[in-house]
Amino acid sequence: MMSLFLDVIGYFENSAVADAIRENDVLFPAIESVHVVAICLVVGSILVLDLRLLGFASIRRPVSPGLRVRSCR
Amino acid sequence: MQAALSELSKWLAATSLSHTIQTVGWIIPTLQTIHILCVAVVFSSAILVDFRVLRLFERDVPLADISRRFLLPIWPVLLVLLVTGSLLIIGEPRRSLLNSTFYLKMALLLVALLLTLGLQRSIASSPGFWDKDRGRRMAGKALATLSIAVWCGILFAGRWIAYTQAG
Repeated sequence: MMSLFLDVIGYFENSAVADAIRENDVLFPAIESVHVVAICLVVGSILVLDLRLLGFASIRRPVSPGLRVRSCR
Repeated sequence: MQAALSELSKWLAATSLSHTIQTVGWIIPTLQTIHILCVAVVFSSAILVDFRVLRLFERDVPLADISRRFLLPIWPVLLVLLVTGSLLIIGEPRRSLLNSTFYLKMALLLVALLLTLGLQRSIASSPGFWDKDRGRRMAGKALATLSIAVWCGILFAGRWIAYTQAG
């Protein structure tokens, strides 16, 4: 099991993609930066919904405009 | 200038506060975690308002409502960013104060804050400001696009600080 795991790690480590990322000065920080931008967008947008669901923010807005339409009928 | 910054870094690194931040293992990761969570809040809020100006999000909600909902909370969170960022600098002054990427980040931050403040003020003074005519709409979209680019630049520069440290 452990050796299979090490084989998989070795496979990725020796791949051309890994080599390109290691050898290039810009690639690693560039990928990392895109990763951080995406994390920030995910955390920020989920937070908007969670704060609304918890009743801490925008409580006069319906959680889902669609839900309000249905409940009115 | 370089020598003065070097002196300042040396002085900061010798303070007892810096010593505490350097030697107590959990302080720096905790500060970094709070800092990045606050970055997520400010970044997402600014981007959501920019998306509304670009008519990609909440088109049926007035821009003034979106601005009040997302731009106002930016300022207290920025204060937390200022405090955690300053403590991180005090802990490792050379990492940022002797690093040109750090100054790029601060310059971009200044531009982003001026754009955000301008957007917030214009909408507060006249809710239909960016919707008056074709020219205004185009200008609004250009500003929103610039704002998104600058905020992304801040995040990129923030990451790049770690890769451009002075020896």
